[in-house]
Amino acid sequence: MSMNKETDEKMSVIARVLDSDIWYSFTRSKVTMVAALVTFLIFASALFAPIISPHDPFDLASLSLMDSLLPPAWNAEGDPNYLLGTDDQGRDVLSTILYGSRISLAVGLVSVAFAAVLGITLGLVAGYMGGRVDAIIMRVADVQLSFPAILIALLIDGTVNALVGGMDRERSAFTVLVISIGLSFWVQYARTVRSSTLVERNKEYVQAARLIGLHPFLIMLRHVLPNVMGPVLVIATINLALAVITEATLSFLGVGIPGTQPSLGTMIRTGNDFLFSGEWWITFFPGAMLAALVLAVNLLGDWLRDALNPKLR
Amino acid sequence: MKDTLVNVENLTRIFDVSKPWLNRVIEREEKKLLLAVNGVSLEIRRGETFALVGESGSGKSTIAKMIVGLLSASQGKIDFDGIDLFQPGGAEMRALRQRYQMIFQDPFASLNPRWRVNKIIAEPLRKFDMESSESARHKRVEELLELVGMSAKDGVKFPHEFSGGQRQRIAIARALSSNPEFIVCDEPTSALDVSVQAQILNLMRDLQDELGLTYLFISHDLSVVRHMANRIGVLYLGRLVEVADGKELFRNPRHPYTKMLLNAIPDLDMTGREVARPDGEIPNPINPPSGCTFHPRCPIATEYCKREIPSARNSEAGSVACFEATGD
Amino acid sequence: MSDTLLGVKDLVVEFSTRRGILTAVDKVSFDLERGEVLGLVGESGAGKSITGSAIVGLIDPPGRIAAGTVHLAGQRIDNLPSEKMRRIRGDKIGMVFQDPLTSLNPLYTVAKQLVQTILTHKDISKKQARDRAIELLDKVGIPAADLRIDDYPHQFSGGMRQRVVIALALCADPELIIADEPTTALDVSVQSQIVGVLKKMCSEHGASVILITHDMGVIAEAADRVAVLYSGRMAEIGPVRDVIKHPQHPYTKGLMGSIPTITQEGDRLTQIPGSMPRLTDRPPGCAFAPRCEMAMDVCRQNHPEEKDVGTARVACHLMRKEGAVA
Repeated sequence: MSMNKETDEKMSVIARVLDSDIWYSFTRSKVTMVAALVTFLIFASALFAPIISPHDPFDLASLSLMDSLLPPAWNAEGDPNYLLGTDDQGRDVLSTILYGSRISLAVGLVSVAFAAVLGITLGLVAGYMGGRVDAIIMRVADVQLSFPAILIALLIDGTVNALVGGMDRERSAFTVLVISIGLSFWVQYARTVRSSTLVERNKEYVQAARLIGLHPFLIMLRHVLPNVMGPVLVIATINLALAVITEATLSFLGVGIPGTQPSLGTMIRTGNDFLFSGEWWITFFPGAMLAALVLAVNLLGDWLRDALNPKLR
Repeated sequence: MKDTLVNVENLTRIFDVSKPWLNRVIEREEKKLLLAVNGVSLEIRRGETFALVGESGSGKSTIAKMIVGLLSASQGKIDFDGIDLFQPGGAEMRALRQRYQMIFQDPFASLNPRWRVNKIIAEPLRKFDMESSESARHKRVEELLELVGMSAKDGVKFPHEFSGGQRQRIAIARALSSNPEFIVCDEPTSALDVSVQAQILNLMRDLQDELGLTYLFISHDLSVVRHMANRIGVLYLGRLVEVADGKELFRNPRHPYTKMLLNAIPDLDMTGREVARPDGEIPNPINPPSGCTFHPRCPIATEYCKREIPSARNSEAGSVACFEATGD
Repeated sequence: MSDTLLGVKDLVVEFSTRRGILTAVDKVSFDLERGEVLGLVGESGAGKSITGSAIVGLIDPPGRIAAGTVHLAGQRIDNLPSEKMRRIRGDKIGMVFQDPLTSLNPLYTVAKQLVQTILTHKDISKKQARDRAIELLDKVGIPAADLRIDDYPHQFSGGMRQRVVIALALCADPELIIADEPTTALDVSVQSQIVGVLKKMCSEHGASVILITHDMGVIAEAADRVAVLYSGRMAEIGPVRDVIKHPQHPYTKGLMGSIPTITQEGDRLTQIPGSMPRLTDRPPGCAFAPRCEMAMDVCRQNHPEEKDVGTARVACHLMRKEGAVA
């Protein structure tokens, strides 16, 4: 069978991936494969939005109020130019969604990366050092956890706006979102990494490294970190979905991305005003996009958690 | 003339096992201290295998970790080749660290699962700047692999591709890479199957002969210890109750605990020797018995043993910490 | 009418994995007399625990019993529906595992667990059941059993817990007890106590025991007969004394030589080179052939049949001629 050692050595990285348990469990789950496909399509369309979208929603010159509030193309009053209709400013809904998911995903990815780096670092240090350092970091985490993400975001947004003023709002919005979402998510990484670190720290390979007098920083970086990344990957995936939702929520509440460069959340908020007058498409399509993205990413995260957890197999 | 390599004096380790401060205040509990190692003195001679035997809670692993510096001692002194291990400065410590190494119990936990074997074995080489170039290091790793009975080609694999015995060989190769004189072996075969245990024990003896190593061998298995050790120390609840030459300990055990352990060894030679079932169990080390901690299980204990703590009596054959023991 | 309690014939247990089908137990056969203690020894992965689980019908998917039969007291039990098998396990088979905590519910007192088990099997009053429970605890050597019976499992030490598990296994007066590594997690001095209790209780209750362990010492002390498994196959089965003193199969010989004993002189232990093959790449022919010094061509091609050699049954091509090979 395939355990032959000679061939094992020569296996390339790709072959190793194809042979791995993760890949196997991936190919065994139809739902996961569909979720991965959907995620990939959304990421790709967001990435290539400037190329594939039929209109440029930011090009004010091409906008015409004459075209505003058109229903989707298959409707009697629809315009074949605007497949999913247009919003109140005459922007093509499809193009805006593509550009909007670009912003939503960027906020999600950057804030998740920010939260992960912060949380992993603090969790590693807390778990490895223990004692007082651990106590302080984890108490800060507890305090952090008692503030809901939205409250933190509102606080930061309010503070920044007060300091910067309305002028730089457009420029600061992205940073404010990333920082506030990141700050409300790091605790989960810190706690998970800390508890895995507590386990790994007592394993004998870490003791072997301590024995030769390796610096604690190097032990954390070279030995502990690679072995605690499994659960982090799972959290990061699920957090991506959460971050996108939080961004949408904040934008919906008006503290997020401003209407000139709409994210999915901003679009939903705009559309919300027209929902009762019958222009459902402005809010429905961005909402469906958001739901599809979050569902797909969540399914991927769930699968990853099961695949990485040997106890469930 | 005896040539002492490691000298341990009055080594003591206390663990604080009490609940966190806040819980203690709320529940009005005292601090709980566990005396894991209690005034242990021993010397390990150059080139010998000194074994520490004991059951769980005897403190044998704690002693091992203190000697290699993985745990700090609460009291006492450890000299390595005449140098006080607890006092040295940076450069001296660095030089010392090269001279001792450790082999761990669980070969599945002692190798970083994300590193290739080459990198694992080369880590001490890198740390101590022992080879001039990358290729020299690589060559040394291959030599080490062959020294422990593996193939030089095995270096590119990951630990999970090996069986328990092979992993223990890799761990031994890593321990040998910095050319140490002294190796602490903490139950190196207790996680292995017997047929593999024999391979590892034989390998360790061969390496000792070849490289002139000194071993501190920690085990709970008296038969293994009998096979490996020149001298044996028996631990009970953190105290060294008896030290004797290997053969002598088995021929003429003096401490009643040693006798009990020997009698409990299964009769694999089918000689019809009656296996005596020991009485009682090891007491809770947080709340040990008064006086000699062995007295509740001891067949020859007197009233005096319940009050007084016996100190080690030295003699030609070794030392024994018991008021009633005979056979000096 | 022979006094056979358990008959295992050509038992095959397979696990289907993505790398194909693994045969974890390959045509293992043995009989167990009433009142007998049979040891199953082997290294990790030799299939000893799986054999035990297969007998009591506790093989979970992806594993399954692919062939062979198991008879308990004349009744075939390997093909029973799980509900019926569960009742047989409760009534006729007691089990003792390595970790006593897996058999005890941490939320209930020992009294509650014992009494409940007794009541499901016997039609007696609660008071009588409690008396019986105390009697059992006393018998397995728990001091002040009438006081300690109301303790929770975590209040007992490891050795005492294992005694409670033995008492629990005896509650229903089972005919067969399967003890899977019952002493492995215990200290040396406690180990031999537990072996003693197990042995005594079984002879008093007239139960047969399958003692699964990797420790030849435990076997030597407790078992009447021993079956040595290697890579899922039977290597040798026979009376303990004969197998230990005069092993026939080269594997058993190597195994016995590799165990350090306190009387042995000399520096080196006999060692068997290599390690047991993984189930995924078991060689054709005799599974031990690659490690065997005496392997012949036939060993690498054909799997040896089991043959009677003196008091033992041995699966080795060397046994073809006239019995024992020195």
